[in-house]
Amino acid sequence: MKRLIEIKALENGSHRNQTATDITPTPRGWAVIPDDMETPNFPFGDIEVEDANIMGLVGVDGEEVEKVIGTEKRVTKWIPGVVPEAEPTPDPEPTTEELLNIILGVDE
Amino acid sequence: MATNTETLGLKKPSQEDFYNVDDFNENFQKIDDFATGLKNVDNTSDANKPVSTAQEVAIADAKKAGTDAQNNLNSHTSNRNNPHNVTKEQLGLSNIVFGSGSPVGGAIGGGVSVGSGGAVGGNAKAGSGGAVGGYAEADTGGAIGFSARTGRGFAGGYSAKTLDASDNLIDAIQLGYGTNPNAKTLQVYTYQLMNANGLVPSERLPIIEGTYTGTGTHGASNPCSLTFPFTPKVVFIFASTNVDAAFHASMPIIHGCATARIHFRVDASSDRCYSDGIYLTWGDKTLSWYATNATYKAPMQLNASGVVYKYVAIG
Repeated sequence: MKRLIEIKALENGSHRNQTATDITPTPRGWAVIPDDMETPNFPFGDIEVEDANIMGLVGVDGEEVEKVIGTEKRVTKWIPGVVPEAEPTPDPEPTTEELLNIILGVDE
Repeated sequence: MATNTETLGLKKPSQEDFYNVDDFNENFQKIDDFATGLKNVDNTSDANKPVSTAQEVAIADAKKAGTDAQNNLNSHTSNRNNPHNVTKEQLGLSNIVFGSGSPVGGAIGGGVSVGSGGAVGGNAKAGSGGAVGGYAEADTGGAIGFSARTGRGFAGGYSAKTLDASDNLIDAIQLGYGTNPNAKTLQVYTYQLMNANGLVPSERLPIIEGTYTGTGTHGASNPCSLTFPFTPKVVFIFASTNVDAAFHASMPIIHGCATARIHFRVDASSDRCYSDGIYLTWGDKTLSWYATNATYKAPMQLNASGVVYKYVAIG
């Protein structure tokens, strides 16, 4: 599963992100997170990226040869950010029946 | 002084000369002589001019010779029986075995080996199938391309092969450079397009699945987005972790629609569900969306902080 993250952070310090079975090529402005990279507090954090070669098998004179077929941004460092405190869950709006009971002064 | 006309030489006395009957008679005699010559000219048209007997014979001979030559040429060009007795050695094909010259089937090319099939190309080898190309080999299937090899299937392309782990020919299909080791399957280069049950492998289908982790943001200025390897026709999104914080939200999305409906449970005790509108923006291979629900905020954009959402897209 390929892990992608938008290089530019959102206002709250998080990054848009996506994993997928197949996304080729990596969208512009996004970077690949290596499979073995730990990412605590994801998606809140700072990242460092660098250009990396994309290797692929290419037919050369009838032989399959691994060659550079492109480049993409790759995350080289993940610095965990602060996860904002969750907002309290809002009370659900009353149902029509509950509203009617309130108007009529009926206790449930 | 008298002068003479240019053609007949008639005498033209000058103004000062005296009239002389002899000059007059001499001129008329020249005119008469000239008229006598004109009288003997043959005025017959070209088409009616007489042909001499000798000329008539010569013309007939020439016509017959031309007719005979044309007939001979027609007869020769329609002769399909090698009238010049050309040999295959003269054509540089001394090593080639044609049709009945091969063991059973047909073979063209040096060093070919053929059973009841056909083989074309240097060292091509065919059982009861067909092999075309240098070192191409087919058992009862077909192999086309240099070093293409197959059993009862088909191998097409340079070094296309259908072989098992022991290098035995197997019944499978390989198109393009590569070896297909799985019987009764279709492989193009290194990609299997049909498995042994006749089904297309899931990785070949325009279906993609994945996840994203919510960022806790919402609204038009903070849309969520997904990128796909194709233009999706349908996308399904579900909260898959911490679903209570995500209000058990889910959303089906149809390509091209400007809005979608998110479905979510607002009251776990009563299992009460609501739905709300989501605004969609489509790119060629991207989808972004946002919600403006002021009460439930990010969860209503399927973007609750830290919640992992799972999606499936079908192209």
